[in-house]
Amino acid sequence: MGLTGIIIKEFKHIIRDYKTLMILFMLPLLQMVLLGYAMNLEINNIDIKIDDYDKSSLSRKLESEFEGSKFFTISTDDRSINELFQRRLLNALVSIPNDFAEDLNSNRVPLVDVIIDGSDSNRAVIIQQYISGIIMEFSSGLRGDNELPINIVPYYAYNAELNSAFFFVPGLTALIIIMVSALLTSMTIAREKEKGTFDLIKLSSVHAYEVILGKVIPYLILSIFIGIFIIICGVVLFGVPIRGSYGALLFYLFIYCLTGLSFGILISTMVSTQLSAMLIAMLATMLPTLFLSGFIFQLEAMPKILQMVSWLIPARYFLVIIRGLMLKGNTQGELLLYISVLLFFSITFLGISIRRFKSYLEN
Amino acid sequence: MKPSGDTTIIIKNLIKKFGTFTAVNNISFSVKKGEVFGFLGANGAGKTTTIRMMCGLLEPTSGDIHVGGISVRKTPGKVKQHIGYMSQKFSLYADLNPAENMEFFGSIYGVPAKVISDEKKKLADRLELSSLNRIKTQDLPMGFKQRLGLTCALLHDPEVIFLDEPTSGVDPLGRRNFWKEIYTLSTKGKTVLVTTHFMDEAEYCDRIAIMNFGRIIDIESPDSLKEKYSSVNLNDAFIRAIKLDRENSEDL
Repeated sequence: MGLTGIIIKEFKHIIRDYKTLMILFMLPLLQMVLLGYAMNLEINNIDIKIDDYDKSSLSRKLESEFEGSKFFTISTDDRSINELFQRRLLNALVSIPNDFAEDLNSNRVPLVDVIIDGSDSNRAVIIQQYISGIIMEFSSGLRGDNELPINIVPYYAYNAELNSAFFFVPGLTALIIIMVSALLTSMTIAREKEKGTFDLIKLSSVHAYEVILGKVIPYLILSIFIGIFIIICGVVLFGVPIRGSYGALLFYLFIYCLTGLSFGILISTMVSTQLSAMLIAMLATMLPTLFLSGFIFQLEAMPKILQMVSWLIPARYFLVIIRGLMLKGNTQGELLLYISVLLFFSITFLGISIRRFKSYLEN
Repeated sequence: MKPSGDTTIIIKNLIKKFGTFTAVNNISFSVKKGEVFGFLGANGAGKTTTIRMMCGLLEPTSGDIHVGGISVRKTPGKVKQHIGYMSQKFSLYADLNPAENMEFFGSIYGVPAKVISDEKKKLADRLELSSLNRIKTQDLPMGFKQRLGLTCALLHDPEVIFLDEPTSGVDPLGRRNFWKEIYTLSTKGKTVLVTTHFMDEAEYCDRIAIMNFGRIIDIESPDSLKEKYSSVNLNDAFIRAIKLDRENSEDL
């Protein structure tokens, strides 16, 4: 039968091309290790300079608070603040005014001037928070009691230690699966068009659905294996939990792979070379998944139009599912809507592809 | 398939345009069952376009194509089982071995496993290879690849065989062996249509259509062509036919 023949052949292509196979498994591992050890939002070694115009015992006490913090390194460089910022030798300048102690002692509120290098805005915000933290602590110490009128007791639900792997492992799974699956299928069909091997298939009596399924099934199995591999790496290397059902996770992974593959097939019905298949598959999966799925950037903060576009990104739904299953232990009822949308995407893509393919095969 | 009388293929007023360029310009001819019919012409003369339309791989702009009494344009699906096609662009899977290629094409053409294994043995004998499993198709010599391609195109035992420059890039000995097989096919009653630009190959054909700029300027047997253009060999006849055609079209 045609279908089994195509499946067998496609598996042979995959296994023969073991270099690509290696890359497919090593790339996610490498990305995960890099992200796992490089992505640390904590900033150490903040170079700070303190201009103390007061030189009172209180101002020196504040200065020693900065010295005592593990985050700050006090600079003694005498060059101008401008030059130090330009040469990236300094991140922030704290100026203590000359009436600092006097103000404090007479119950006035002294103003401490802080200038922060804002060229990296994320870093600047974090530095500002660290400096505020030290000054707050100092001020509350002055009151004699170490208590603020109101205190908060934070607890981070689902990720008590704010482990960044909990954030990027699900996101990376969503990204890699969609990229790899769309890329693989779009290229395998484009390759046949390019090499002319499709001519003999076109002249045979196979149906369009046999060609499509024959291409989808082997790559579906491959992408599920890659997905499982990424999840296992996340669990073993970074201690990411799987709090929901394993079976459900596998089933959802299956549907998500199918979405990517059917998208790849759809691309391949529109292009005739491997190069254009690759470029389109990369552009259409990587960028939207990185920026519009809620992986890195908050969708709520985006303009309305981008929020609307994000509903078309399969990764958006899968991220809810995989975060829900890994971290929140969601039950199936809570995820039904999201998986239905992915299933809808897959069926639509496959349906259009088979139709387009049928007219291509029959000319 | 019941051939209508002795004629297997009938082409009427076939035209193919790509935009403003006319690749095939109003050609008509017919081919008899068991005939080896050659298309001779320079690159771009329209040989490949004609063959691809006859297989149903390319939609004609206008005109009729009947293969074995079936209209290729109306029911391309029905013609598929009756034709075999092999192209100058080698269209087998380079990373699979010859046996795997045969198994794959056998499976999509619905050929029984028994037939495939018989054909594998025959091909191994002909190529004097001990095994078709040990070498990747991409590592075979060109002549072997083409014969493997021919075997794959013939697995489903078609009555009409289209060969598009099957021997380009093959050494003289390989070409001889390839043509021996074409001969055997025609003695079995198979109709063979072949494009070539090798004159010695054109000599093997029963009839030749000389193509120039999308038109068929003459259809004759090799001997009649030589006689008609009073040439000692086919090469001269071909050149004179083309020259005459150019003069005629300049006169118009």
